[in-house]
Amino acid sequence: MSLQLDHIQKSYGTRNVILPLNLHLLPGHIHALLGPSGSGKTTLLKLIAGLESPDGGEIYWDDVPMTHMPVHKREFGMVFQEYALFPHLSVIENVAYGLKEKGWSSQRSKGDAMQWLQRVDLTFAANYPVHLLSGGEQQRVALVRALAPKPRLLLLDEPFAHLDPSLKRQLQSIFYELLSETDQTVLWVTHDQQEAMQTTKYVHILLSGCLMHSGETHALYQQLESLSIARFLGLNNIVQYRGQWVWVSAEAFVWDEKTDKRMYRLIETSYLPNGLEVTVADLDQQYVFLLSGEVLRQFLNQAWQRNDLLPLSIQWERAKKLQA
Amino acid sequence: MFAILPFIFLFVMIAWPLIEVFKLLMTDFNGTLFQVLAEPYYQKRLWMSVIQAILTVIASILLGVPLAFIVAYRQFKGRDWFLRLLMLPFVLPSLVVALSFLSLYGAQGWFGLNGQGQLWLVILANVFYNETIVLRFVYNALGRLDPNWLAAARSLGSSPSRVIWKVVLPYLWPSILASACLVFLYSFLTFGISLLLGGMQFATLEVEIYHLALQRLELSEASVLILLQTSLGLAVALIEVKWMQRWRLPFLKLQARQPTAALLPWQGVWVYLHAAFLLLPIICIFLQSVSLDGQFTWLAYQQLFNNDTQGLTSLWDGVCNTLMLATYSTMASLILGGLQAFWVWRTQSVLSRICLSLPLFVSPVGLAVGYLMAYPSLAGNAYLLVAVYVLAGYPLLARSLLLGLEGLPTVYLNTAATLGSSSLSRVKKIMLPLLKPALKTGLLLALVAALGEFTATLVLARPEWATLTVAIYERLNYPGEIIYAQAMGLATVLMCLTLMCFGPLEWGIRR
Repeated sequence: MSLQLDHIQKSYGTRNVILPLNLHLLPGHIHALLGPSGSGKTTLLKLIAGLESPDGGEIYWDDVPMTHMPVHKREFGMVFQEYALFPHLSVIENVAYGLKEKGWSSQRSKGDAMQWLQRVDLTFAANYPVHLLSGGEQQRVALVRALAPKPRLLLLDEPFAHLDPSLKRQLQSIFYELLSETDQTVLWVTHDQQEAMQTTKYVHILLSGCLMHSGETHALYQQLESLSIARFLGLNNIVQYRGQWVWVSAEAFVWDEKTDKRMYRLIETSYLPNGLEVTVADLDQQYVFLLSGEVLRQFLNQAWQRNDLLPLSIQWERAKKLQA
Repeated sequence: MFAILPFIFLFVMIAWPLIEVFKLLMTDFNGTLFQVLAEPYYQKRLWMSVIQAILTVIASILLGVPLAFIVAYRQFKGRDWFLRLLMLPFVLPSLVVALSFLSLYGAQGWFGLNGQGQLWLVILANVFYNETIVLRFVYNALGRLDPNWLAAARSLGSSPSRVIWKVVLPYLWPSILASACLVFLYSFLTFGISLLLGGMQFATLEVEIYHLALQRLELSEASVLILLQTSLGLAVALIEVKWMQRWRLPFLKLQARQPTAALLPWQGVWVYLHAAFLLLPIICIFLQSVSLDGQFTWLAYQQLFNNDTQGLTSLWDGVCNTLMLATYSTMASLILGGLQAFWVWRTQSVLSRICLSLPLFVSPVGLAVGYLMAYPSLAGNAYLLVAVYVLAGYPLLARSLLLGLEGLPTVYLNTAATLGSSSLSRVKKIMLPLLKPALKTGLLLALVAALGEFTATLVLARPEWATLTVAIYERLNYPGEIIYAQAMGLATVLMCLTLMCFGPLEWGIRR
């Protein structure tokens, strides 16, 4: 019961939106697809849903090829950014829509739809036209509409993009509760790292159409395979450094800027190959506020000039004292 | 797949008859062509057709665009009726309109202006017919414009006039240009109005084709003019397609809003002057139906309702035939127009768009000649008659539906697909309900075009199929004041019939 993308790629004209990528989604979990705006997240989602055709590669569900299967036969539900509630149907008719498409009777579909509305506290609005609902209510209807037909995979395209922070938090917990209860496999597109960290088990990072990382969410900060990911995650104490010695408070990563690959993981005092130009970030959250790029740059430059680690340690102690 | 039926229909109804006409030209192509083109008389006819079409376009835009703004953004008493009133000129036969215009603006007219034989009266009558096209296009576009854009521009410091110039007009260009092209084509092909109000000095190319082909039987010369007119029409249609492709911008809102702001005094004057301009010929028609020897009388109506028609087509026959032909042709227009709209929407090709405009820029008289040559055995055939009705109505329906399709957010269809809807189910359950307003507007236009059809019925129909417009024409060629009053009475009945058809359709549009 899992989704597998094998060398999927897509371009519009001369613009490569999705570079050949492989992706495996483990069943029964919430996966985040994280990436900045314009990185190709929505296109990838549409390729999986069947709303766009890939230029190459295959999509499998349980080893069955799905690439050329029509959208409506894939049984992949989708919640769009703009909710897309059908304006000519009432709230309950919207929720019952997918059930009727499965061949259920009108009465049975509406009964089931009402139960779904009950789970998101919207039974009072069952017969309302959808334009009378608030943004948050519309989003809840959109979610239960997609969940009601029990899709094999649920695709969420930045479902909270248009909501205010407090409503967003409230809805996140409702979504999380509902999705966990139903053991639903979910691919959740977002550019909000906090949202991804709080709600998902696995995270996949897409940068400029390229899948840069796939793994468990909690290990993301321990792995950081590339500088682009570090930059996307907003590590603000990244500095360019050319030297032999580097002192870090607890732990740091060293990447080669040319290849964008991680080279070293530094712990406390470390020795770098002579003359290597690298980019360093300190990950110790305790000192992140101290180690702004400029401060760290100054420390490292002094260490380089004196070719000696001792003064740096003293400076560092002084900095900590000053801060205190 | 969508293209097959419209393509076959257009080939049978337009391409093949025109090929038959142009075959005449092929025998001595260069000789006849250059001889006719070099003739100053024909050049003047061409010039006259172009000039009056351009003047009509300018006048219709100058009058129609401000009116569309007022109707879209201001609420006033009788606004819905005013919008309905704007559709009435469409159904009136040109003969009736010409006579009522002469009663108002002619030598012994109400206003004592003596406009007969003057260009301004021809333009005025053309504007009476065509201004509503500009207004409808612009009004629909304004209704679908996102009000937030206007608010954003105001908040950035734009004055109301700058907002109109910098924000609204760029979005209106496609609608204004599309309606201008339509008005140009309609006025360029006008026949009755210019002949009756302007006389031979303002006769258009279409009038000349009629004289050459059907009166003097000089078919090869007529075919040159048909070729000339069709080429010019094609050029205008191509310009329209190119403009539309270049200027087309997305609309955010699906349905028109009801305005709440009240009319300003000058806007009130503008609206009521327009209402008077549109109503006066209509009132004039009604008054002529109830006056005999300067006395008020219902005699004409009594005779019409009692079937006392002295061998002429009776009211009931006229009404029944009109409704029957209008119903059949509207149903056929629905199928054909729907397929054509889908074809254009799916392919967005220049060919499909040209095919959409084709019935509008081909000379009707040229086609009538073509039918007689291509299908001589089909004269008086019911299928051909209905097909000609469809030809008049279905492009209007297709255009309206196309506007609806282009404004339909694809996210609804995508969502339905992810919820398990097949293509057919998506069309039935999502697309058609959301397209209802556009569909009903299109049906209304196709129906109105069928109710007012006159030329084809006169040429192709058997006497027992005579419609209301034919019954009016019969009476106008018959002596006697009471018969004239009956003709005006029938025109009044035709207008009432049209208004009655608006009811159920407009209810659907607003819903």
